[in-house]
Amino acid sequence: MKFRIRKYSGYILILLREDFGMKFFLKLCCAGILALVIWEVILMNFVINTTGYSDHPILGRIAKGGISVHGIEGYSRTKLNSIGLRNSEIQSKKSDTFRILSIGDSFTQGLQVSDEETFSYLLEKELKDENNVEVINAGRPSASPAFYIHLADYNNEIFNQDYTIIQISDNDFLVDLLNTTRLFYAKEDGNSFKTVFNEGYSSNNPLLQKFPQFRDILEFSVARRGAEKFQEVLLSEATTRAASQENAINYEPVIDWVVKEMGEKYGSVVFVYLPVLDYNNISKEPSEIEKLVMNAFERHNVNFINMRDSFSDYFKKYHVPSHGFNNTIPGEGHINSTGHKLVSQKLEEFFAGRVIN
Amino acid sequence: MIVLLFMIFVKSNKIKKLFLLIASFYFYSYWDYRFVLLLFIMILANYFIGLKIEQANTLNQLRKKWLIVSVVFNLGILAFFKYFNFFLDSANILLDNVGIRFPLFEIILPVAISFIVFEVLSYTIDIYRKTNKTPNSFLDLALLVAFFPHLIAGPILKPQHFLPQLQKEITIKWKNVERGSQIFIFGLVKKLLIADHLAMFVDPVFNNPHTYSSITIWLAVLAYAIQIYCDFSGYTDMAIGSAKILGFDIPKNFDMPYISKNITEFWRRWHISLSTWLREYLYISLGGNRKGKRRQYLNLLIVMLLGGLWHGASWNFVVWGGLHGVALIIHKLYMDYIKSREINNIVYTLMSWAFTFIFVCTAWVFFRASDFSTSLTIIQKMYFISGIEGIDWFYTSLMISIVEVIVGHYIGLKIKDYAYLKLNTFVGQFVLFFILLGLLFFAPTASSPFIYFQF
Repeated sequence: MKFRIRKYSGYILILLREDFGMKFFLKLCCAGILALVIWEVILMNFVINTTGYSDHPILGRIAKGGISVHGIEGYSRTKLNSIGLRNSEIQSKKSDTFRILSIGDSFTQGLQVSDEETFSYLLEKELKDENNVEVINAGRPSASPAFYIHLADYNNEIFNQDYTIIQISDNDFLVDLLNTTRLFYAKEDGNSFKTVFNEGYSSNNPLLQKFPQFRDILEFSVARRGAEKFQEVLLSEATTRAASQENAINYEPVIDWVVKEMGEKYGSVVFVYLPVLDYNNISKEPSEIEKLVMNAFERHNVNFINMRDSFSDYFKKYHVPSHGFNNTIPGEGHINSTGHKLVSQKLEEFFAGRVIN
Repeated sequence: MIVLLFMIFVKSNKIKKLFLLIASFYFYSYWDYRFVLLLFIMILANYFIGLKIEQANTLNQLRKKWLIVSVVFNLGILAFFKYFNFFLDSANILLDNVGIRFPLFEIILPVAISFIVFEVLSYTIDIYRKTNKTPNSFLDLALLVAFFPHLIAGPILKPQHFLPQLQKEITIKWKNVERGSQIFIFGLVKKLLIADHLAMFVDPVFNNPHTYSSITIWLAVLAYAIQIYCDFSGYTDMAIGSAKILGFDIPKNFDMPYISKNITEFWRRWHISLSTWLREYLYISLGGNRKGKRRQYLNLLIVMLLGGLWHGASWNFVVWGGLHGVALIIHKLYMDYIKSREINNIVYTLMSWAFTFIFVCTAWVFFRASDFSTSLTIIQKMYFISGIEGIDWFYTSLMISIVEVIVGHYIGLKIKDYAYLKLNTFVGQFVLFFILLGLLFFAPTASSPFIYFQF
């Protein structure tokens, strides 16, 4: 009898311990999930919210339509259309409308500023006073000249624009154009170059490149933020590598080819070059890439606007840099509302007289 | 984690202490393996000297001689590694006109040498003063000096408080693990989420002050005041937390210093272990306040000048120490000759706080700036002596940090100690997850090293 009681009480003790363990484990899981949910709400509204991605047969991987929040650098809350552009849905061009297509990368898309502060919006607002003008913001993050060249026919057909603005910067050549992990890239083809659509592309995020099955999970802000942290580490290495390779690669032929191709494929085009400025040493020499790009513009006799003088003159006068934000470092990163305003002013000067009323 | 598991499963206290010591030496070697031997030699030498002082007992002359040996040996090591090139460089500047130039040597600064020297000196001086005895074993002294939570950047432990803890049985208790881990995480939050974020604002402004406006510079100076506090107190919290997990109590090193209403109070709240050390082993040794008012003021100035120099081999640190010394003297003069009664007036209190805080922030400029001319540029811009134009930068993280620090100080004033959560409750677990996820999402990718590691 005593032995039985001892035996059964031992079993009860084990069960209680197991039950306690289960309770503790369940509590832990619930606490973790609740913390994740609350962070998801915070991040979605104030830090980062993506609309997810889909595969377009021609454009490749594009952002889905919906509300996008971007708060890491600057801040904006905007709506993306069904082809991932920061614009309302693209309608057929009316005969009495002068349509300007503004293509570029994240600098053109301008998720760091609000809708009303992008240079595309400001340009349309200024030109609309006297003309029936429409400016389409077709900026996409990490886009490069390879993207613009490869999709020139598609863009011309879909948008049917009267004029094209193409925004380029040093990073287009240093980081994106020749990068074979990008959605579109350029590679040597005999004595020239050609663009390639990367059918195996999964993401610019190195984590997703290795584990594409995590794509759906990354639509959650918490997962995306964690993946971005991982990407930041690897991207800093890539940037360092790119900077060190700047002297190793001869960019002149590919820059020349890019300017020639884009000039031919887009017809009526104006290039907007966004320079890298050192606001601590505003008189510093332009980069090698900038010099090569300017030479190519002049050689091929294309319209171009180099924002260097505008940015530096404005800074000298008002001590306001055209890059950077209060939540990053003024002078570094993407162009801010001042930068967008200056770009729109230069474009407005360019288009004065060119817009067909 | 490995240390913790070892402490749990090993029964022998001696083996636990030995393992703790090996782990501490390994920790030190991780920062710089070349000076592990130096650390060992310093501990051994001071243990030997301590024994000699104690054995001399009533022979005061002999006791004094051994104390001098200890002081010369320890300060000699510090002087060689830390100040040799500084003094040579200063001499070169002075003698440049007469064409004399001494060659500089490539001397590597051992990590934490300033803290280690002060720790061993406090040990031998306490034995000399008979306020402490030599420990039962060399192992205990070695652990006092090399105990990894406090090894790199303090707090400087008082031997008479810490050695008795080493003589007790080391046991791992859930309550200590629970509290210690929370204190550790609290320190990590201060370091990663506040200090490192503010560094991203402070560094560009202090590197190029001429580019930024006066208001930006004021904000950067304020940001640095918060950064250095959160960086250093964050490290101290991590040290206290990890020691607590292992069952040891390390005294706190900060007591909300930025609520101080005068500079004397500031030094009772800031880097408490250092100011205590300077008071007990330097200020009192110089005579303290026992040799008249003038001598007291002079002693204060000497202590603060040397305290500044202790932080780094640079005239900037000497100026910083000197400024604090002068401020302490002024406060002493005010208390001795001007202030006749206690004033309980909100305006007076606010003004006292404001003056103290502005002074402390201004002095931090010399602490942070890379050289003296940069310090002057910043001071000139702060006080509108030179041009005030430049980039206006209202750094978002600074605005958030100010609120966090004010709220944290207010809560600290109310509860007087760390608030603990029970980690086996849902609330405790939720808060823990919430904070850890916050660290994951917002900790800067490239964290800056702890500021006080350079000392």
